[in-house]
Formats: sequence, structure tokens, C-alpha cells
Amino acid sequence: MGAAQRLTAALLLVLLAGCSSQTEQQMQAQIAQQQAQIQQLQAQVRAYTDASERLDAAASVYNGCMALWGLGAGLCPADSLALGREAAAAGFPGAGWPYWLALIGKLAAAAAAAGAGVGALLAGGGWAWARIAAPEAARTRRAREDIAQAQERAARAAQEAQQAEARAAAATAAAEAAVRAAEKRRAALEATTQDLELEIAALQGQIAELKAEQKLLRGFDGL
Amino acid sequence: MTDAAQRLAQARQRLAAAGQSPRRVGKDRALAALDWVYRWGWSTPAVIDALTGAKRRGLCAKLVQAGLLVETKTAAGRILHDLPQKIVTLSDAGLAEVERRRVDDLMDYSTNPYKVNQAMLRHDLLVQKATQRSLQSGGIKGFLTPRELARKSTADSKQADALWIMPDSRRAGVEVELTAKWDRRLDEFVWRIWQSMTEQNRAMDLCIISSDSPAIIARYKKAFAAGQTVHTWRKDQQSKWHIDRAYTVPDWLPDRMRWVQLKD
Repeated sequence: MGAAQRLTAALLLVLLAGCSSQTEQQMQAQIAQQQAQIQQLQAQVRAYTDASERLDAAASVYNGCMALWGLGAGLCPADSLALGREAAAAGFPGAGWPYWLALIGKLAAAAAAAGAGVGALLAGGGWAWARIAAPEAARTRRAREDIAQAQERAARAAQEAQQAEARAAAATAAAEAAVRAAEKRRAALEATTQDLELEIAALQGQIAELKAEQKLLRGFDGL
Repeated sequence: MTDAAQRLAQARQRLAAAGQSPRRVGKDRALAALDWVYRWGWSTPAVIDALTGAKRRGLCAKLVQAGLLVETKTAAGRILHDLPQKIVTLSDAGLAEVERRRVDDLMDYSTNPYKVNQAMLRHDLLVQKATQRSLQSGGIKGFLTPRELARKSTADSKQADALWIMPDSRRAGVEVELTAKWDRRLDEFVWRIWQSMTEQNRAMDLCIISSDSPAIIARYKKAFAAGQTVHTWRKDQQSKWHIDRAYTVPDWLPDRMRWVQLKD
């Protein structure tokens, strides 16, 4: 329970005890005073916290610079090292992200100054690990997931394409069958038309013959 | 100029335009009349005048007057109204005139008018009249008379009363039946007409049977019906007729028959 909370609880106990010896105004004055003290304490806590964080960060930078057997420590800023040394000596662990940032920065600077492949690899490796590898692992994992999803989508697309091709082939076959059937019907209709034309011609011939006979028999009219 | 004179003048103009003259037309009509009598054996003034298309009678009289035709009174013409009172035959001069214009189809013609079978006058006259009318109306383009058919007839085919040539070149046999046939004669009548229209002997394409008797027409229709039996006959050594064979009237024969009811 914090200080502010203990004070509040005490005040409540006092109030609940029904102390009548103090006047209301006196109580309110005491409360205000206590609240101011609480706020002051809270500001001190914040200040101490900020300072602690700064010192831990400095310790982290110091530890990062002094990592790898102090290799390349000279590349880190001297004032950062001094503060960080004291903080580390005071017991701050110094293992936060500034540690890694300082380490990578040192390695990168060392590699650039030396112009050596090893240093570059070390720096690059560290950088890669800090900035690329770890996030890269995540990206790789995401990429694998993306690839898997893409493969899945590709497989579905291939399946759909196959199905579409099968449908197209079936439609083509059906269309060809329909064309053949229509051609067959056309040929049958043409044959029927020719038959009908022949029949019509024959009937017209018969009509002509009958008309001629009708005229022929008129020779007997009136006889 | 009177109307008649005007019409005559117009007719002469038309003839002239056709390269003809009234004299030429008159001569052609006369020759056509003489040829008709030659082909049929005899005729009547009414048929002769109608044949040439003359609107007025007179051509036959002119030919008789010219000695080319001989006019003879008939035995029953004055009694029976449907018999001609007179018939005409060719005189020797008329025969000579006809024969000198024929190429190779000469027939044996007797100028004796009494050789004309007067029992067949009404029958033969009906055939002549029907032929003349069909010819004039364009129902036929030609014909053959019994005398001409007699030269071409075969044993089994029927010699018709006349053979009409239709504009489409089909040939129609003409039969005028005024008395009923029975038994053998009816069989022979049916058989010979049937044989005249077979594929092997297409003497005629159809046959017209005319009669003034509805009963005759009904009987003959039945005899020509498909499926009916028709017999052929043969004569034995004693000249007696016997049924030789039986045949069944084919389905196509009734379709080739035409029936005409003459007015009574």
C-alpha cells in the first residue's frame, strides 16, 4: 500500500472514529496538506524513475560498448562511457535495448573504420541479428506463411483453371454435338423439302391433266 | 358504207395481213370438209357447217351443189328426231380431190352412200359431234376415226369409236354405248380396253365411255371396278364360245376410265 493510500485510510479511520475534538475546517486543512505532500512524493517518484531509466540506459550503452572484451570501445562516445560506467558500478544492470544498439553501432563503426570483411560481417551480423535477423525471422515466418498462402491460392487457382478447362471442353463438345444435330436436322429438312417439291410438282402435273380432261369432256356437252 | 360492208372490208384486211384471201379461206374450208367426210366415211350438213366454223349454213350445200359431196336422205330421219334426215358422202370428184392431196395415208373409200350402216347413224353421229366440238374448243389437237384405227388395230386391243389426241399428247379412246353389252361381249369390251392401256400396248392412255343410259354407265362402271373378274373367251370347233381364262381387273384400270352421261 502506497503512502498516499495509507494516509487516505488513516483519514477515513479518523473520520469514522467520529473524533469530535477537531473542527471540520481543521480536518480539511489537514487533508489538503496531506494531498500536497502526496503530489510532491509522486513527483519525486517520477523523477527517480526517470533518472533510474536514464542510468540503466547509460549502463546498457556502457555494457554494449564494453562487450566483446571491450573490442572497439574506443568507438563509443567518452561521456556516454563515463556515465554508464558509474551507473553500472551503482548496480544498474544495463541490459536493455540501448545495450544492443550500442553494440551494433560499435561493430558497424569498427567495420567501417577497419574496412575489414570480418568486422563488417561481425557488425553486419550483429546488425543483421539486431535489425534484420530477429525481425527477419519474423519476416521469414511471415514470408513462409505468405508463401504457404500463395501456394494454397495457386493450388486453388490451378484447380479452378482445371475445372474451367473441363467445363470449356464439355461446352465445346456440346456445341459441336449441337452443330452436328442441327446439320442433321437441316439435311433432313432439305430432303423433306425436296420430297415436298417433287410432290407439289406431281400434284401440279395431275391438276394440269385433270384440267385438260375437263376441257376434253366438254365435247360431250349438250349431246 | 353499211355495217356489214364495213365488217367485210375489215375481215378482208385481216386476211390480207395474214397472207390470205377470202377465196383461199373458202377453198381451205371446203377441203377440210371433204377430208372430214373421207376420214369418217360420211357426215351430216350440220356437222360439216359447224366443223368449218361458218356462222351460216351453206358450205355443205355448196359442196353438194359443186358435185363434191352427195346428199342422201336417211331411212328413219324423218321419224326419229335425234337421227339426221340427210347424210353426205363423197362423190367420185370429191374423193379424187381428197386423195390427190394425201401423201401416203389412203383408205379404201366407197362412194356408195347406201353402204353406210344406218343402224349406227345415231351412234356414229354422236362420236362425230363430240369430236368436232372438242376440236373446235381446243380440248383435242387431233383425232383418229374408226376407219383410220381399223388399219392399226391389233387382235387384243379395242378399236375405239374414236381416238382423241389431247394437247399434252395423251390419247383418249372414245366409246359411245347406246345399248348394253352382256356376258361375252361385255367381257371382250372390258378386256380389250384393258389391253389397250397396258404398258406393252399403250394404244390409249385413258378411255371415255359415254352413254345416254344411266343403267349402262352403272353396269359398266361395276365391270371395270378393281378386283372384278373378266373372262377371255375362245371358240371351239363347233364355233361355240367358251370361257377360256379368268383375270382380275387391276387397281389402275378404273383410274384410267372416264364416264360421261349424255342427255336423253
